[in-house]
Amino acid sequence: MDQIYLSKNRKSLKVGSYVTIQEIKSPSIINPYYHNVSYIEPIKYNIIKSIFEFLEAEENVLVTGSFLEEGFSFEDLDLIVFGNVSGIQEFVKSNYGIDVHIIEINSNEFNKGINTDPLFQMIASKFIAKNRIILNINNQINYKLMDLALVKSELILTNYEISSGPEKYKLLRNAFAIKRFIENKQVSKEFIDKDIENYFYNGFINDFQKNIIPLKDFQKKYKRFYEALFSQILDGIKKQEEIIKDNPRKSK
Amino acid sequence: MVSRNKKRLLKIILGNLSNAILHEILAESTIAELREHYFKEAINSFEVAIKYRQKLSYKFSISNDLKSKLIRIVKSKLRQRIKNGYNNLNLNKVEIYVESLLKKIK
Repeated sequence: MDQIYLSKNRKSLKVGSYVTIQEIKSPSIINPYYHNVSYIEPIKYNIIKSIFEFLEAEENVLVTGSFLEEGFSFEDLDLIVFGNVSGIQEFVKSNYGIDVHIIEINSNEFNKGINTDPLFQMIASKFIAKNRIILNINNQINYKLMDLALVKSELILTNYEISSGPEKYKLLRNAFAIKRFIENKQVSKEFIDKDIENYFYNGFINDFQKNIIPLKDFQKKYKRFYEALFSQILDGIKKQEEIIKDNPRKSK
Repeated sequence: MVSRNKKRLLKIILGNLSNAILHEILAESTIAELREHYFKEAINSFEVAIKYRQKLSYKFSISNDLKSKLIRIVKSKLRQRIKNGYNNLNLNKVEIYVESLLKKIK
């Protein structure tokens, strides 16, 4: 028989009183794990902490993207959730008025993503996580996938006059991320931005985001970059197809 | 005679539709578990095309001319890849994709 000891000297509870016994859960302590984030504003930290508390039962949660940039000009809050995401969008929107963009994933898919997709690797290059996470990055370049990933960046020129600066910047960043990835270089927003400015000019990203660069000043240089990258990818596809032809098992 | 604005809109519609079809066809020939994301990109391009189609008068019908132009653009992009050793691309599917998208955009 289980016994519960009640001390004799107590202020309330007379002998013979009926009592309810209930377990008191000790509040769990969340110690966020920072990956390439050196500073976060206190108000943002509180938002992140409340998200981690809301998703406490899930395996892990990563906050990434523009929310982690200094200042308050973020578009939305990017979350990578290893587990169930139900209710989180409504929770953040109703408490803080912020839109949430969620990637619901498991750890296998996450590892595959950071090793095969440059944009995913960029997203995972800077984050705050609920629990510590070790990244094993080992680029696996699938050139057909890179070709597919580059297709959307072709639209920068088609939609130049109808897109906003940030929309165009995302497509441009996509192309430069692919370039870094297939050259086996580290893919992060900072490195990509540096590459873009080195290729165009210092201060280019600011002007581009403000949408003040005329098409004629942009298209020639961009076309040259895009075509060189596309041809690099086609060369890669050719080589990979030859390897598969010689050794069909590799295609599996 | 086609006005300058109409020409501009048609260029945007053609560019985005061909981009959507290219996404679909290339995604079909890549790893199954990674293709889902790229079907979404195809939808994004298609939505831009729809948006700009709505700016054209409803009297304007998506003519056979536009259809053949679209087929030509997509096939030329695919041929460029096939010429460079890309396998598993099915050019015969282009007409089917084009017809299906044009039906939705009419």
